Amino acid sequence: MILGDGEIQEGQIWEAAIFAANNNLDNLCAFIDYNKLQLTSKVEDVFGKCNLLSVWTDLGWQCLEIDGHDFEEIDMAVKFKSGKPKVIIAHTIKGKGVSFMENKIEWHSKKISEEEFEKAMLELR
Amino acid sequence: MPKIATREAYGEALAELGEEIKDIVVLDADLSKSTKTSVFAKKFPERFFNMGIAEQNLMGTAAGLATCGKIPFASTFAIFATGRAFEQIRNSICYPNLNVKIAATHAGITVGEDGATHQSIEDIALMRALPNMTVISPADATETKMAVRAAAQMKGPVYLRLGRHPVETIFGEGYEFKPGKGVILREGRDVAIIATGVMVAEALKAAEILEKDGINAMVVNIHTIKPIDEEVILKAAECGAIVTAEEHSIIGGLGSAVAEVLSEKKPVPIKRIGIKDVFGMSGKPEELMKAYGLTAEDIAEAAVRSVKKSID
Amino acid sequence: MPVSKEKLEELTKTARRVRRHIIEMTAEAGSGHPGGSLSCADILVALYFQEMKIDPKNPNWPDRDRFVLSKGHAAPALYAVLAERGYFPKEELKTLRKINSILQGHPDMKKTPGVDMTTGSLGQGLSAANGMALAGKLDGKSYRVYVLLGDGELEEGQVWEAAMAAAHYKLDNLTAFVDHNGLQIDGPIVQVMSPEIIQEKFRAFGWHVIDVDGHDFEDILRAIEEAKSTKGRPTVIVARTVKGKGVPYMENQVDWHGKAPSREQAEEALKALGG
Repeated sequence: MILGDGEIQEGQIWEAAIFAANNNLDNLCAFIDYNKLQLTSKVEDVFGKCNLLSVWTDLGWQCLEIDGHDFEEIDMAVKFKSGKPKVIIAHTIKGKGVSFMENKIEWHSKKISEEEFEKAMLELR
Repeated sequence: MPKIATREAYGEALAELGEEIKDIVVLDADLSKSTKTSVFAKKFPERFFNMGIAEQNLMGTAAGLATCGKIPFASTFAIFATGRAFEQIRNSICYPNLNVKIAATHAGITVGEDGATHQSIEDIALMRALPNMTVISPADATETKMAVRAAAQMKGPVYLRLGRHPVETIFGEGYEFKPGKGVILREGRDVAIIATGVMVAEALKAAEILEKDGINAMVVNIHTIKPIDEEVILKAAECGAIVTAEEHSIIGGLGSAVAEVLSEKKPVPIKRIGIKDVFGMSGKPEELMKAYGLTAEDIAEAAVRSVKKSID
Repeated sequence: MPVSKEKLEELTKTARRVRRHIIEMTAEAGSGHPGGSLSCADILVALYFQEMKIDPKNPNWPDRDRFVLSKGHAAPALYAVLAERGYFPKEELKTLRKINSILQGHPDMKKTPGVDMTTGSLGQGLSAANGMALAGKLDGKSYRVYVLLGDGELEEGQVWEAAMAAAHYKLDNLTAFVDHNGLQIDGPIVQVMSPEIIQEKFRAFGWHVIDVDGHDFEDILRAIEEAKSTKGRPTVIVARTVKGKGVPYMENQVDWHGKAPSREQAEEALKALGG
């Protein structure tokens, strides 16, 4: 399961997280796509006071932190054995791979122009 | 006339009103750029609260602000406002009759490409069922601005249904908007088309199509679905046949509200144009309107059939 | 400021009267939630009889401190405290849950003088309290906002949405209590779904956390003072309590969550509580 870092502001996530911990769902592995940007702002500007790592740990989850663009780290995290449900906080870059989109909030949902499309495809080749 | 989305008009109206009415505060669930509350946020940052992606808390906080004399406008997409936070609207806002305005954008199927999960087609039904709630569904930018002002000035909870997609501006500056009062936009005698929201423009086009077929159609704009204007509906019923048109499920929305009035007070044949108890899908707004039978042609066809039926 | 011995005795006596009301009211109504009302009675008495800036003759005074009973099913405790404090005649307590009463099964701000927020559906009170605290900051007012949550209620996601927002907006004019009696309708919270270490969770969400014995007035009042002097973030006071406190046969018994005592049981309870 992959969650967005903005998405975890929804209370339903916390209802489910408590349930998973209490029922020891150690066959459950969640990723948080931690790109630090949500629709209107940086995630930390919306709710910066919240410590992501310690919240999940306090709830009874096994918490791992990785580079979300490093296949080796992803593989290790997935294979990591734990007696608890596991959450992998994957540090990522929004728009990764397309230089003009990287870390730019406006590319959360914006139409790509023909010129931009060509440029992006060239970079991704 | 230029095409303007009702959400754009909402954003502008809110920022204007903020100057006049200092008690207005605005809350959003991380969609301020889409709901257009960002215009207000820029002008009055201290009176704007981004509650993050947390709609239930958005509604509850608005309720708390209202108990202290504020006039909160709580905005997010219609699907999340009325769906996810329904019980908060019911128990924390409507039951204590608090002065909260829920201005929900991206209502209906014209949300388009985002698909069924984001197309709210049951919001009118949900909001209409709540005691104390006023439900307003404006047809264009002009009406939206007037509705926002009226909502701020009236006491109690209001649901404002706004759209994402640009729509034709039908009304000029001289247009008169009275909450709870339907507007006869075109007199007619053979059939009456009662429409709300984006379907008002379609209804007017349908009347022109019908004119060519020799059918004289009345067009009524119902911007306030609750409380509904019984008087204007009964007047429309004198045509002997009625077609309702809404960008919403045919269950529980405008069509149902009109049918409730007619069946109790003056039964006449009625046809409901709306989404026929199915979910939407991805596509361009115009394509979806066609796919779900929400065009002027669909209204005109229903009108022709209902006229024939009432003659039979 | 330390509280005098006389004042502590007075609060203890008031709490005893409040507990007697809770038993009499629920017995008379034939339904209601005595267990969770008895567990939070001392917290309410501390707030309404010592701490809060209020005026029972002017319940809607704009500058008053506010209280939200998020665990709305403990309404009998709130009603008893409000009646004792003079918001409405004590005779009204007998009408709890009866047709046309000002005392609804769950708190209704439009019907009961002194009730600041309509509650009853769990999980919603902290959000409303946030709104009140935000309005206070916006208007530059010095009033404080108190909210009481149940420990079972913390399972509602909305509570954590609100907890996050309160920390973000630095609502240091807001103090939350958690009535941590460890029991909910379907059994002990550790069995149903444990929000295990409540304290740790609130801390992780950016709150200042204080632990108290929820039946010790000195402890409760000291914690409130600490909350008032904590700047830049909201405070939660996690109060360890006993469900059914004061009535031996109800104490720590899950069955007494939502069951009213019979006439005989009420007599026994009143005897145990003493005059």
